[in-house]
Amino acid sequence: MNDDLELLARIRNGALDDFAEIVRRHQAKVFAMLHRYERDAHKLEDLAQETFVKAWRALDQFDGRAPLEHWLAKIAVRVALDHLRKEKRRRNEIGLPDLGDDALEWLQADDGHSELDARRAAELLDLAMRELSPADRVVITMQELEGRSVKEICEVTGSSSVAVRVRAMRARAKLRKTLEKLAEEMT
Amino acid sequence: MNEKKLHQLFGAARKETPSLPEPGFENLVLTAIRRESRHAPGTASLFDQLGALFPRLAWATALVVVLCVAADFGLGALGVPSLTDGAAQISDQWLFTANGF
Repeated sequence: MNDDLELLARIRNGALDDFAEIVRRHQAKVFAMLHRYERDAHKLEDLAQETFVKAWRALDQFDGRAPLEHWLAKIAVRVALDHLRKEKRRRNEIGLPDLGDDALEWLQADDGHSELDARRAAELLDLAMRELSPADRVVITMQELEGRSVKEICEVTGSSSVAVRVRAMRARAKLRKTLEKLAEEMT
Repeated sequence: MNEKKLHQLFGAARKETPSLPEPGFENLVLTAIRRESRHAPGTASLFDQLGALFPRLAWATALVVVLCVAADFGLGALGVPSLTDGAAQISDQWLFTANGF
């Protein structure tokens, strides 16, 4: 963290090239976060780039009280939210042909009797999550896929703990319904 | 779909290997930042700078016009021939004489 602060001080004094080191240090985490919201490699790269450019633009607002990583996570979440809102307007339907056979089989199988490959599970979830509102999706993703606590989600999203809990509950219910609908459509 | 199955789905999805950036991604970011800095206020184009200066130029021009009008009235009151009279006199004497050139 201290290293980050030293680097940031140099960047603020005009050493723009040092920002490359900041990007190298944090890019893996930013990519991992954004990958939960966008699976297309090119779009993902654009989102990550947007995150770092926004961070550079707002560098003066970073006071160094929290680790840079947390601050970048906040920016990444905002970028993801904007992206989800734009995408929501564009595509609003779930397409069964997008799912692999094993994902469809898993959906129809009885509870706990079959295992789903990580990639297929992520694809299935991604498809089902398109039915959620962008804000609900961010909350459930952070809670269930990133394993963050309600407190952490509140810090990153700026929402109250009640709002986070309500969003998570609503998202879970909607996901169950969407997945049930998918399973029914297959039969 | 019960809670247990949804939990199982989250668990499986959590194990997915995250996507990694292509080598040289940091250079893409720096290029984007440099492109943006070129359009930053400190390096604005000539038209942008003129646009920013326009209100001041307009005020300066209005001030000059007011000063000229005030000077014309002031000199007229003191009996000094005004610029208009001087120009008319010159044109009578030199340009539009009765016999012409």
